[in-house]
Amino acid sequence: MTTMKDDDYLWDPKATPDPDVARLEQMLGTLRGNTTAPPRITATVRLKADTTGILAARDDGGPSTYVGVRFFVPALAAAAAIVLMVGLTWRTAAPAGSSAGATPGNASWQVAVIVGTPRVGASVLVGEGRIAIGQTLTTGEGSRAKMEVSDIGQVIVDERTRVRLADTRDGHHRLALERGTLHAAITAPPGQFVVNTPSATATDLGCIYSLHVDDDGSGMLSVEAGWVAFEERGRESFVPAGASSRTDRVNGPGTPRYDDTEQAFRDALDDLDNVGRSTRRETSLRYVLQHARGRDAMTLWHLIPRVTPDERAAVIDALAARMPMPGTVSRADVLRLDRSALDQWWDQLGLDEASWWRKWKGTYPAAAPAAAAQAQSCAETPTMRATPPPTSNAGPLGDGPWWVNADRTLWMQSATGPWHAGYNQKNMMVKPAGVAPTISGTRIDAPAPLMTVRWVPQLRAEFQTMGLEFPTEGCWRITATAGDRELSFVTNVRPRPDR
Amino acid sequence: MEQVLEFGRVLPAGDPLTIPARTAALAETIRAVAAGDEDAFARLYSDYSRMVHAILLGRVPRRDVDDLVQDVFVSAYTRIRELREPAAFGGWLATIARNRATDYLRRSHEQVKLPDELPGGDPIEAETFALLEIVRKLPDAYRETLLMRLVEGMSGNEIAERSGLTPASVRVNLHRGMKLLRERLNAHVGAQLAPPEDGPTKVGPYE
Repeated sequence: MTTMKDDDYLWDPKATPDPDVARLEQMLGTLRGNTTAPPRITATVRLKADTTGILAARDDGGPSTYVGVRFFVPALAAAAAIVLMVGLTWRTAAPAGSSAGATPGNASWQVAVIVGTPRVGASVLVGEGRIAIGQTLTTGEGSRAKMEVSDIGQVIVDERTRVRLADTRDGHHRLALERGTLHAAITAPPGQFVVNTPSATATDLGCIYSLHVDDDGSGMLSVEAGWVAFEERGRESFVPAGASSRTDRVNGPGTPRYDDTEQAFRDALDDLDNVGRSTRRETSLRYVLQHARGRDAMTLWHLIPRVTPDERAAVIDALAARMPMPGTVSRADVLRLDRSALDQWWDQLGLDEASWWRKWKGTYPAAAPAAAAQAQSCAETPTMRATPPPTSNAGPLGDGPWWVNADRTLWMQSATGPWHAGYNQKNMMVKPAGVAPTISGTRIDAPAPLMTVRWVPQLRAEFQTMGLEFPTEGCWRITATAGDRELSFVTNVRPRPDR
Repeated sequence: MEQVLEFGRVLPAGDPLTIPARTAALAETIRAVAAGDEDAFARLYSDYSRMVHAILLGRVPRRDVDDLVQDVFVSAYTRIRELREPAAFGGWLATIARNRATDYLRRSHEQVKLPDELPGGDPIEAETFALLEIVRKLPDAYRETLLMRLVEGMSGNEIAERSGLTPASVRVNLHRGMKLLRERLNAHVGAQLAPPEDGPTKVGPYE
């Protein structure tokens, strides 16, 4: 039984000791840490701190690099709005090559050693140098480097990182982060700086963020200022300042969550992203819906298309309790995942930056070379989270994400994450028994040879595996049939990572 | 001795500084850190490292806690300009610590799995780790508050000031956490906290 005496001693170590508490204190006190000396602030750490404040320093215009922290975020939002307006004007008025972006004759970035011995291609970087399109910057243990993103920002590349400059020209700058960590601070209008990872694409919307990729292709995006759009195969996450999103090869971008949410809330969201139909998933969904705060409406909005159809109504109710549905939107529209309805509700959240993203995607210059623009111009068919019917020749198949036809008789997903050109990648299909499937793939944004299929079509069974190989990257339409059933969807095939 | 922060010097407990004055002092220190003042950073470290240590100890193996404490403070140093409200520094730092622990666990999960703790042969040490395991299974708020009190030796007032919790919340966490800890020790391990003269307390299945 707890007594007032031990409560006094629990509160004040100078009070009369309670024997039980004192003994626990004596035992656990041996675990006290060796925390007498603060960490050494190296030049690298200082540089990172300076880079984190780069936008604040530029916006401030004063002699100090420190902006009163409480004014930082509103100032950034205002600055970002101005930058966007200027950027849109510039985009339509400026002649090609006249902007601050790289020109064809200057298709490289400045890169500098921060510490250690980074390499550009096979050459060890000494001091400063240039990295050209197609070249890879590699940092080993203890090495770090800094890249100037044309003149729109900086990227700090942490140790044990491999990143390739995929493209740089007016208004389009793209890195491919194969593994490791980078920190980006970008001052350009939204959408000009893009980072591909093996499991998602991060598009800068005027901000500062960190991106990490593990060896297995999974990753973590943490946004410190502004916004980042994180997307893969039609699955989008809009990640605002103070929030993070995980990603992996199977599921793509995870549900974004604010970093100040409780651990249990984040764990429950991870379950919703990764765990199929189960008691654990049900418990996690209940936890999220009950414990979401007002600002977590952002997270609930993202959950709507990600949960299974039978879970969706509860998520919609939870979001409506925190942010009423707009009068122009019906519950049936949202249940049907009508994009316009979802976007209108999103705009209700007061997070206008994401609608910038939509507008920007819609007006992306059609004349841009496909290699850089196809990821943005390809209107991918959204996947959905749902569990296919049981099959006679495979175990439980999980809840995707899958492409599913209207009557839910044909289901398909890549077993190896995003499709890349030039690889024979394994895929799964669920179809009705008793009919043989067909499948074909055609590139729709440029001429290309047909997709190659390697399989033994199953007549009797429902579960079908196959190898698909796309000869080029780009926007592809896949059409599968089984008897009179058809599934057709559009997807973005990415460049082969090693090219 | 209980201490509070004030314009770069430490004051003994009971100093008549009001809460707004302490907040202003903390804001001044944070501004100094953001401007690159390493002495100010050392003062923040001195005042908050025990809180960070307790949060990490509740989540990750002890062998890595000291290193992670350093990581958390480096991360705080690099991001301190993001902090909107200086008074929220304690809670902000605690969030960095929790996220760092989560990151650590995620990454270590993908590597070779070691036992959570590697105690030596000393039965007292084994007892301590067994007790720590029980504390780690308490709800977050109780676990962190109890570890700040029982491991780090922080008073209730100090926990409130560092963590940003109200004193009333800290008192509730300590009270309910201790009650729950007693129940867990009794119910799940079967060992009562015996009076001192009964010899070493048996708190874990290490024998």
